[in-house]
Amino acid sequence: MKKGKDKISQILDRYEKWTSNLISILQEIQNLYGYLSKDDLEKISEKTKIPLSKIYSIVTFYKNLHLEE
Amino acid sequence: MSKIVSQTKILLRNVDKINPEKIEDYLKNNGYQGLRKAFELGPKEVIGEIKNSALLGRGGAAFPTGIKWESVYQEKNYPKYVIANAEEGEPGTFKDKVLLEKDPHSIIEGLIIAGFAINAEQGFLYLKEEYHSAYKILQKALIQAEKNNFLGKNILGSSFSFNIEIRISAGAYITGEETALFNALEGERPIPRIKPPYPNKFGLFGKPTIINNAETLAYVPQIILSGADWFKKFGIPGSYGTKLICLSEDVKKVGVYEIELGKYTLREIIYGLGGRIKKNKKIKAVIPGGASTQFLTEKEIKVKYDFDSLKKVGNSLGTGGIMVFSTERNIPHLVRDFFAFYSDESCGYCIPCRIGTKRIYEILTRLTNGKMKKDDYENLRLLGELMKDTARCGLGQACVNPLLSSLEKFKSEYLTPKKWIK
Repeated sequence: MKKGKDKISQILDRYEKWTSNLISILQEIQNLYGYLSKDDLEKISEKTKIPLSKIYSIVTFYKNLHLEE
Repeated sequence: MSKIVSQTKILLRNVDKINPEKIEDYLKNNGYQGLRKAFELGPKEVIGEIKNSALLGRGGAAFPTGIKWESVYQEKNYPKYVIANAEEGEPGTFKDKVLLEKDPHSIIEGLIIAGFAINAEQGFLYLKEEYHSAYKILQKALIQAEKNNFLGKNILGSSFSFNIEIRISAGAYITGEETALFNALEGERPIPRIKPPYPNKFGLFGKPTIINNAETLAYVPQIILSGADWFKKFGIPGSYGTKLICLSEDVKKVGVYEIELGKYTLREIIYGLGGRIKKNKKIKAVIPGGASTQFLTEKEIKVKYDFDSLKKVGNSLGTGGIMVFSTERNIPHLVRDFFAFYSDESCGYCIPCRIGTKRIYEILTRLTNGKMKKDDYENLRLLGELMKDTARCGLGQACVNPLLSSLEKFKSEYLTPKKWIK
């Protein structure tokens, strides 16, 4: 799990603007694990200061962003 | 028997002739000459040339490209943005895919010229979620273009700098709607915005934005290089140039073709390019431009294939996705399948579309299962009219086109529905 968290930070560090690239960030993380876990989303929210509710609103909108494996 | 229909290849000229992964191949075929010419002409002349060519947007709305560009040019609010919309979500449409995969530089060059014309610094290429192969090819193409100094800082020694970023949708039909696409690029939920303000004033990040269909942009380099008068040699007044069409469903030769506008009737195109109808059946109905345009009956397909002729019969050229249905098909079943898609894809923001698509799907499901109720026909019509008048965006307003037109033209099939046999 620890390793995974580091990877998320690495991905976030590559983006200058987090808000407008949120979907790309989510896509990249999902490509890594096959889905977006609750822990990952919380981690993103914490680091980017984007409200968790907003991240969820986006993840649940799209067909190809998954909350489960 | 059928008239010989020959294709006119303006956009498809390089397709299957060059290696899309090698910029050298594109350069050999006048590649990036349009961009060089644009630098010689200057932004004003470039816009003038596009305006003169009377190029109409190929994404479905057929808005004059030159006027769109000029209105963004006149805005003083910087930075400005240009976007190539390749979120081809419309059922029955797969034309941009061919260009993206087989001649990626034509779209990239068009996008750079658009950026130069309005002095933008950043362009976006917005791709459909499923187009992974195109994504890889486009990424390679962007790197090669940058190496050759067609992108990046001080392009070809000029003071113009421009970058393109590819974004790939996470899978939602609505992101093809231009204002929903802006929201998607901004990292918001892709909900369509109310227009006005139009994108020329308040587009991406609230800045003046050109958003064009990928096919429209692919014409730009050639129009700039060869001139508006050259472009006007193709097609007829009101519908200059060619159009990529996607023949699908019950024709033998499904595929993407390029035809001159106003030269052939829809029937000639279907039989001339598509070959026979499957199982040697006859045509029952045709949808001329993607699943959000109206049904045409077999008698009506003698209409010429161009913007004005289709408008005259109350229809639209749409995206160019020609769907042909044989006499074996049952229209209410088809429309039910469309609404399975639309009720799934409605973004859910406005009530007419969110509830309307669901109710229409429910009624059609019941009806096609042989459990029709007395008021079903009338209720379908009422729901359709209501959505057309009150839905927030093009999805809700246009998705009822096949429903309303078929209620009128294939009334008997709705009143005596067959059970789904499979």
